[in-house]
Amino acid sequence: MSDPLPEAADAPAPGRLARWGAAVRREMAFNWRIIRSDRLGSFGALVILIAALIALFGPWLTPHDPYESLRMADGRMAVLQRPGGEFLLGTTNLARDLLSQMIFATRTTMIIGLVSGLISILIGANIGLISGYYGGRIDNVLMRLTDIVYGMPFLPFIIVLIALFGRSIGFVILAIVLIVWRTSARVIRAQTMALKQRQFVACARARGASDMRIIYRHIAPNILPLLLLYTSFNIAWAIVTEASASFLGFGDPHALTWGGILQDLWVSGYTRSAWWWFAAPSSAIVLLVSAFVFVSRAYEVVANPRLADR
Amino acid sequence: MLLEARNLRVTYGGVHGEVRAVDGIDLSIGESEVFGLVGESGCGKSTVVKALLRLLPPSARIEADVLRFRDHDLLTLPPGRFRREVLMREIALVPQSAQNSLNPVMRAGAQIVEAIRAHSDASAAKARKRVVELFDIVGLQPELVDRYPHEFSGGMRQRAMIAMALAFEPALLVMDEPTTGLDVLVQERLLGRIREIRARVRSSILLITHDIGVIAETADRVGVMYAGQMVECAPTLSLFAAPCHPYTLGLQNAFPSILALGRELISIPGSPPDLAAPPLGCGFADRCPFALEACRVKRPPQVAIGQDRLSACIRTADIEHIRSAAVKKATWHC
Repeated sequence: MSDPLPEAADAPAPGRLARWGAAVRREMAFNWRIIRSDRLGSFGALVILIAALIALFGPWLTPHDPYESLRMADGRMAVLQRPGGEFLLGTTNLARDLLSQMIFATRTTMIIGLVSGLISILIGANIGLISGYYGGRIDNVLMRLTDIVYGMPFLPFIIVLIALFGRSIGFVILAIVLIVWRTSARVIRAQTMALKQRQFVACARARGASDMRIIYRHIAPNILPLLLLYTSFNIAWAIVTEASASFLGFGDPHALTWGGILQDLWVSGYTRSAWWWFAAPSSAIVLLVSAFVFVSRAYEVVANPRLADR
Repeated sequence: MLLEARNLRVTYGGVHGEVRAVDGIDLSIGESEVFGLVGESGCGKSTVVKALLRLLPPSARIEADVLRFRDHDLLTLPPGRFRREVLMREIALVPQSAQNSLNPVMRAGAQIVEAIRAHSDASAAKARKRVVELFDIVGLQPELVDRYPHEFSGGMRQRAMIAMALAFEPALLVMDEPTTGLDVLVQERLLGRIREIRARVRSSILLITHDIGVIAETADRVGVMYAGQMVECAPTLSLFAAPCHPYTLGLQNAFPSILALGRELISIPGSPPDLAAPPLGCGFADRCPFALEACRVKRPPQVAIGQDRLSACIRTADIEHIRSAAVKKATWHC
């Protein structure tokens, strides 16, 4: 039989980089369109963008050193100043500038949120895909594991972790990741089980596609909107979780976070009088978390893959 | 001989006991031959295909005395080698309901390019060129390569699937119900296309269908399946000229023929036996107006009638009489 495709391997076609660039641009434009089509989604995207810029350029934006005890023009310590004038968000009982603290904390919060959100979706998606695709014993083992994680309460878990290893950002991230992946794993498993029954999967198998190829090339792109939905959802959850852990004093003592600022307030005992000290970090948390939720809502609208690229 | 299967058996294990969907089939397909497999729904046609391509669920068991494809022993070939060396390159499938067989979120051409590159070292550009060629063979415009499946019509999707199956000009093309779900005009055009492809590509075709008309038009040889068994196997012309098994006669009665316009169609009464508890004797005995006591006792063996013809009926000696009786409606519905 004549072979219409000789096995000669020729050099990769030139312009592969350009084609990759085009593909990335196309994806960006596609995702941008999803977010734009939803008003709250665009608001959320804007908030996230601003937070990201603050996180990136934080050290150049702060008016003061966040740890320095400041004095006012007349030489007195600037203790518990209301917002306005030199201190836009007010000061703490140690005469530190809240705005500078907030800006520094944004970076930590974003890092913890993004890193633990992304790692958890990576774990959750893979466990969900493999569990849903293979089924049987593998599915059983992985899903019982998920059930066990579902049974683990977050706070006792992080308390034990910190008691064992000490307080640091790394362990906060680890604790969050170990808890957050469970929901995405379950949802993605369910979706995978539905998709693997579809004819095109059987068909890919009939033309000799390996299991890995079917999972990552044929099933994964079909659940992409769901994946993005759970990515932003996980990030939002991670931010809230980190804030509550820090507020309870389980955060990294060397890193400024929004939850940490709230904890300082609680420890100082000025909760009832210094409203600005409370207002800034809590509204920042609410704003950023709802921004991620709004973006995930925008993806939920297109969770049907057939709407893609029409 | 391209494909040879002897005494092929497929058993599905289930909570309600075992179901033998294919019960001892002999199948042989020669080089560049079109072999048609007909039978009603649930007779095991698709299971034969799935057994050949290893698409059966893990609960199914395949057994055979011989199952070989050229020099590959399909019974013992390890899965990895089967996937790389046999699928696509030697045996390719045009699936049942090709309508839903393309991944909705990938461009049609990209899926074929992927399949080609998974089985060869071809560069992306070269694979793409091949896809355009293939689209030309099946009569699709080259612009369609970059379209998504939902932008295709049903017939176009079917042709895209055929294009994909033809990528390596496989020795055997398995078409599972290629015309089901298409209207008659598209069906006719598709059959014409299949004949054209046959002229250009030297592949053998295993054609599975429940439509006798499709078989009559395309196949060289026909196997008639009933209840997991091959009841008759013969060259197309002689099969239609003189069927040798009561079931084939019944099938023929149930389809309109252009040679006998106005003839009343006669259905076969009853329904196929339960394969979880298969009858002891001939599977068709309960519906067959010509059945004798002996039919229900022992499974009838395949008897050779003339050249290249087989029939699994113990009454082939009386076939002339049976044929003349079978055209009367009263014989079947009394």
